[in-house]
Amino acid sequence: MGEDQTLVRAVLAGDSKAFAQLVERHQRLVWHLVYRVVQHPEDARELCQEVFLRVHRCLRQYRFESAFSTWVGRIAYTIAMRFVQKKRLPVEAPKGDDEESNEPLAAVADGFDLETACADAEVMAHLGAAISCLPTVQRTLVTLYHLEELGIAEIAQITDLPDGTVKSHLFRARKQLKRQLEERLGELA
Amino acid sequence: MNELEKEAQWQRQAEQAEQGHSNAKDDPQVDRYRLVLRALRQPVGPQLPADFAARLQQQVIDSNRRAALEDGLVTLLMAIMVAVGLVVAYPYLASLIDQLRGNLPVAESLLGMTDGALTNVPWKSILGSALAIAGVLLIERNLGGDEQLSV
Repeated sequence: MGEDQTLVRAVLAGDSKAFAQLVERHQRLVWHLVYRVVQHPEDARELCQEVFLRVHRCLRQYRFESAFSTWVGRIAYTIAMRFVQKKRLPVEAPKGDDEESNEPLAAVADGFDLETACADAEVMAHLGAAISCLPTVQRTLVTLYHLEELGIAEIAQITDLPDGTVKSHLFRARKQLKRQLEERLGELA
Repeated sequence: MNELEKEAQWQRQAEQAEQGHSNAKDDPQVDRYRLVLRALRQPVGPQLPADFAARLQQQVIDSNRRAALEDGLVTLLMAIMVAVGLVVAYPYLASLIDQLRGNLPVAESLLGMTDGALTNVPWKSILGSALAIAGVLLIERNLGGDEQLSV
């Protein structure tokens, strides 16, 4: 956070190279967040650009009260969600999804080898597709938590959701993915 | 322990195992969650172009330069409009002042004090100088656009 503060001050003092450095430091987070929400590379690229231009315009409003990544993440999340809502893409899972996921585990043979499955490109691709099919909020939260390795509190600040809701979404998303994996393994068996 | 609690426990064990804090072997449920966690850590889709930050930096510089040019042009336009407005309105203002002189003795005395001074002012030279200074400032502001990145 110290380096971010130095860079922010440099940008505010008129150093354009410092802005490029800030972008480099946070573009991965913004990309993952925006791409997970919109799931379209071209749209995601344009939105990432919009996010950083907004960051540049509003930089004076950053009060150094939270981590800079949280502030940038919040802008990225807001812009991406607004885009999705404007395009009227579904944000929440269809009703009944949770009930389905509460069913007892599918009867899949327990002869499961982690390393073999992990090396199986087909299984991993299936899981990747299953992640893309999660509800928007859930797939964004699992990305922030597992890929960006942000803490629950920081994710809650970015998404403006209570900590408990974030945890609940994470739990349900992982459970859903495991169920999908089991279905896939059942098909393969 | 109900089904949800079991799931939560498997998820916790899987996370701990993936972080290397425990070695929960031979539990297929935990292993499935570990596989899910590994999939979740895979990079997302295509990435941003390598020169994304540099391009954005250039875009910001260009945008600032355009904004400075627009500001300068607007200022210049307003100055010209004010000058033209004064020139156009001068005959009406002059007649108004004449009327005021007749109606307000105090105003007449004030205007009488400055009357000679106002007519002797080289208004055309002042207007020309003001426009020239505005033009020079505008050019300087644009030439210095690379370094001056106002936020």
